[in-house]
Amino acid sequence: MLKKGLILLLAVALLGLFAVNTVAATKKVEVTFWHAMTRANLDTLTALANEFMADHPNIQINLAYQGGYGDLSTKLLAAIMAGNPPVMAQMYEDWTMKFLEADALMPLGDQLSPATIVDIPQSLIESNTYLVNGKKALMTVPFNKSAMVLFYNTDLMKQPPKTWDELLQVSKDLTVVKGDTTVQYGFGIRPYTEFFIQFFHQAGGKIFNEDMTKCLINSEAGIQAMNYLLQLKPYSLYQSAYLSDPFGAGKVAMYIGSSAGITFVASASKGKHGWMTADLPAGSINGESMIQGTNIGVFKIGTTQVQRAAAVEFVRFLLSQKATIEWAEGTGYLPVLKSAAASDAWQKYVATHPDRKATTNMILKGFVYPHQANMYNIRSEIETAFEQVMLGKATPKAALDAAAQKIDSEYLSH
Amino acid sequence: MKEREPVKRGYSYKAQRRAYLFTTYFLLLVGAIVMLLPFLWMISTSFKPLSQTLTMPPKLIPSIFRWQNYVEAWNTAPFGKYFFNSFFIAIVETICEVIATIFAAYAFAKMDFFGKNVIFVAFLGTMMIPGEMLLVPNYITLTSFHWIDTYYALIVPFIVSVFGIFLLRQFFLSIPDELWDAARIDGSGRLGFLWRIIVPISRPGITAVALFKFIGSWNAFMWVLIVTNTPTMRTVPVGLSYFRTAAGTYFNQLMAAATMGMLPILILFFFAQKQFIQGIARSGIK
Repeated sequence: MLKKGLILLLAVALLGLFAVNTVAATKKVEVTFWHAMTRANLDTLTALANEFMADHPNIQINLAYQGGYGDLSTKLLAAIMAGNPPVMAQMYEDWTMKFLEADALMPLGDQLSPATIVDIPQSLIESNTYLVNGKKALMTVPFNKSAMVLFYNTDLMKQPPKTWDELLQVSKDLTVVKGDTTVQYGFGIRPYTEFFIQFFHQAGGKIFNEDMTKCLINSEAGIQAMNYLLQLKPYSLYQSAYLSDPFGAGKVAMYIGSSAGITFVASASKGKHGWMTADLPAGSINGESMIQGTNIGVFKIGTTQVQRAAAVEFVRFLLSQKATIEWAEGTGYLPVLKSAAASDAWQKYVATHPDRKATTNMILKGFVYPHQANMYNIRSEIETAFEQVMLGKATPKAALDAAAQKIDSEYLSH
Repeated sequence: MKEREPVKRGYSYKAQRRAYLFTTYFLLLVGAIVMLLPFLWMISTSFKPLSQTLTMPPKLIPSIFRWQNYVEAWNTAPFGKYFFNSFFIAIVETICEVIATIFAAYAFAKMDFFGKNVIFVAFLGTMMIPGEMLLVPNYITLTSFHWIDTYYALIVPFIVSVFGIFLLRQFFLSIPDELWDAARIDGSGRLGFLWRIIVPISRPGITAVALFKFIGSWNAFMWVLIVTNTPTMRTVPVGLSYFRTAAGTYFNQLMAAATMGMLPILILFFFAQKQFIQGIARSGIK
């Protein structure tokens, strides 16, 4: 009787163990990914996550939209302070520096193959590499990247300008004044920091000195860029709203803007005139384009080893040639691998979408913001100086000197 | 003989009255246009194709009426669920706040207790702390309660409103104390006096508090976004953020969604406007 009971007990225990193992085997590892993607971008991200989950049935990617970038940044900071960030998230470089201060991120460089790292354009490697405990480490990976390109009206010009001099001349030629009204502007100027920095960089400017202790925005390059933009101003529509609408309406013949705005340009110009993108007109020193957009980081606080491993697996997938091309096709962002940009699949896509040729060219001719935790405030100071000069309230030297002095004393001195 | 000077006549009463009325109506009309223009603009933009939303000179009447904007806006995010959540949260929050506010305002207006004024000033002092400063500490508190992504996080922190207490206290103060004496003679206790006399008299004030809360809750964005992670817990204002992208905003669809989101508030205001205006006027804070 006792023997029978013992066997029964053993059988039940074995069955129980089997059941526990089965549950453990079927239980998915959940990876929450906080992002700021909407519409077509979100659809493409969802498709990629589904594709990944089909190949990794034990991983569940939970995409969680957290509003615009500002909202996402606030929420990430709050979540880190509360000790429960998501497993992975989109992040800009200045946020990343704050997260690193809280020792919240795991390095991703060790998790990627050397072949993948070599395949990422150098400017993007630089923007994702941080000094952690005295050592440089690739902490995040590039995700939604766009480049500055020239949008031009193909009904008004066959060939876009290739240099600053040509840009000024074409802007003059295409500006049409009737009576007191300008009915068509050759160019468009939108007073935001990246617009100015684009010209500043092409004039050979560096925002900070080597050890990031002094702002150099008032250097010779800064003055040169401002003076050039002042020369362009009489032939430019100056407005703080996006320029895709006046461009589409035929009021602006060309403008420099982010490739992320391609869908808006296409929609605004539809049925009105032809348009195309081109490489940026080159400045006195270079023709490089500013690369913007966020990266992806994986959090080490508040997450388990298994979750982090699953997140790394998803990061590897997103950095595969196939996924980066699918992402670029669906969203208009850049493929973030050199091999992807050169691949037959991408070239075939570009052949049918010629507006993507210039953005592809710019991947290898890109530059990025240097790392500075106070970049948000610094950008705002530069923007104020840019606006003051454009509105004739200050000379380039006076405005840039004042901005540099304020940035030095308030954001770089400690 | 010296000729009599003609009597100087001022403008007739009728003419003065006409000028007064003309000025009044003119100013009211200007005010009405200023107030209505954003609404008209919102409705007009909600029917425009994207390419016409920011044209110069601006056009109030779209050249093509694009009704699909409403369908596309509705399909951009799970708005059905967002509307349900907005209604549910706003109604529960409003009911809870009205009850809590009535009790607190009554205590401050009609009862004597130790440190009443100090406590009331301390209450008012909390209104001077910007909400943004409390965002992170409140988030941390709710995380420790495991309330993130639940209705508790969306409702409980907003059940008490100092502004509501202040508004109703002012209202209750205008009710003569003799009524309490009379109620006591008739054998009423505090609770009976509050529910049978104070609350019915104060209906306009209570309606104003309820409306302020409902509108505040309906429009809340940042807090909802911060304490929720899944679309099933979010509200209409969060849905509106789906139309903004880093490269531009789909203004036509955004305005279509905003028009849909504004309708419940508009309907509510139409039904309660008399009480609402009386409530503000009688509380002495207009």
